[in-house]
Amino acid sequence: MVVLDYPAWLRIEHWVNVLFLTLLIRSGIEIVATHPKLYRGNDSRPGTEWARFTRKTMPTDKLYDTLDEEESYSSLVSLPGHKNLGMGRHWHFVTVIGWILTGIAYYILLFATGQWHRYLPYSWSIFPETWNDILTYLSFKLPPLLPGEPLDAIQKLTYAGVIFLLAPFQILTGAAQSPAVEARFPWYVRLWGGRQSARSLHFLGLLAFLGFIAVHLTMVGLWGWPQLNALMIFGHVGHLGWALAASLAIVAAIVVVHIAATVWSLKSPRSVQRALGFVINHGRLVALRPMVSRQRYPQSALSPEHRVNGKPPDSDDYKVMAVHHFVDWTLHVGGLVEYPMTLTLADLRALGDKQTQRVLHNCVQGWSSVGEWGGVPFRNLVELVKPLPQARHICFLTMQDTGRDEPSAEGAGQFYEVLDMSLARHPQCLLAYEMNGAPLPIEHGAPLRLRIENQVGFKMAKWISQIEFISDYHAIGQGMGGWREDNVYYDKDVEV
Amino acid sequence: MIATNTRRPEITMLTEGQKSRILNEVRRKAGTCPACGGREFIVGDALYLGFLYVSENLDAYMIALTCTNPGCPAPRTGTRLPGSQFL
Repeated sequence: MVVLDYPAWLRIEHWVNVLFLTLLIRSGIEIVATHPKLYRGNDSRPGTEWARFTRKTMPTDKLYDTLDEEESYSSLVSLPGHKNLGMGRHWHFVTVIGWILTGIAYYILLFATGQWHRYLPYSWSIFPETWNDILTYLSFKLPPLLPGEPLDAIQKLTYAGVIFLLAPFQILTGAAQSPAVEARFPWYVRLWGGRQSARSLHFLGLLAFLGFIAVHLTMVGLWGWPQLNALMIFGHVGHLGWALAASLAIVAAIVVVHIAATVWSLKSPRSVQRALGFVINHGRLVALRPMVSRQRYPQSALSPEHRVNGKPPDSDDYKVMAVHHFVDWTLHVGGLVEYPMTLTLADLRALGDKQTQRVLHNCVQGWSSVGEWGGVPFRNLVELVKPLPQARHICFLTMQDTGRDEPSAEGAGQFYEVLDMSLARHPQCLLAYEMNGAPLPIEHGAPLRLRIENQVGFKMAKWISQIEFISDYHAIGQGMGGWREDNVYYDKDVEV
Repeated sequence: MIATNTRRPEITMLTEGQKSRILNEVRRKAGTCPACGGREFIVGDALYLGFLYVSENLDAYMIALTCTNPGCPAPRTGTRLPGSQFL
């Protein structure tokens, strides 16, 4: 018979879990703030949201993009707060790695030591006992503990639900929001009812965790804060004063970690980006980089209104080119290639048969839309210009001057993005000049944009004017691998 | 696959009457080709700027003008006009 006591590993895991869970919740709220609306299915058409956490209204007579819809939440509820999606993503992803590893260790130890008996019921009688417990709590009394166990019936069922259902549910719905996972396994997104349904379910899971924490703390208070904290800190009930002091000290330490993470992120985001990005990128490149897009959505799945992020170049040169159907537009391809060249739109169209792909677009902000893109496979261009062996990345330079064109963006300068060479030959890596069977609209990047379907949307540079094959990107811009990486601290590799 | 439509979605095709009014406006303003100084143009399509750009007035259009000077190095140019002057 296993003694359901409080072994050291269980106590350590409990407090580590408190830290990770609270970091996940705050950074998750930061991520929600960047597109504070929830939808069903795959689409994020304006006006179809089932929940919104913003009072902003958008104009109907001017083009707006999803950067305009972004909210700034307080650091009290979000990590780090104040419209810092790049930081929020870093904290969310690095914490989720730690949380998953902690969870795996917890599962292994639970079953290896027999401590799983404290959570998993093995008699149907648990359900009538749970009902009796609910009635007892409603009469403002405490129900009896299960014989020989540390919990009453409803506590046992609740912990089982949180540990074995809610936690995996959050991980699985989180994975369903990775563009790499969605691109490689479109059935997995369908399993959840679509990308936005997965996002909504992930949010409901967050609410469930908040509800659990509130009830858990209330119960601990009702059953005896010092006694239960003594068990969860020291493993036995000794001096209650010490237990109370120790519990407050642990809570204070967790609060200090949150404050430190917030201050560090707000004062020195670049160092957070480098430090946390180092951890995240290694995991991401191993687990998600091998996933190649295999999407083929039906025509009926096309979004009636494909959202946009970013505003078109606000220069007379661009407007004159546009009104002349981009006849004078040229694409310069150079750098570390054998055959640098300048191509017109007609040249690009002549680079082989047009490829079309009907795919799910994932914005870093959380919205998604389905569109059909037509253009020339990027590998065709690669074969034409023949990159030199030392070419390791591709830099896409655009006609967008962010400071001039995008008032809602943090930062200024020419928009560019860097892609690894390994992605260039993906079958759905496309230079798109068409969308939904028509010339690529101006707001979606006319005359040419990139599509790389296992990445988040901001990597897919719009309004492209120049492509350079390079060996290193650290001398470009601020050296982080793209305008958004430089200015809003996103990761260069964004399979999630 | 969707059948391809070759028309750019933001472009407005102009009638002969509208093109004529635009030419009159260009002449009235003594508009010249920025590349060669020419004064004769063919009017093409119009691009509605008012919706696409925060910086533009709500009724602003970019009008495609092509300089007729055969020696012009950059014949495709444009002029910005409010829709009320030619629509």
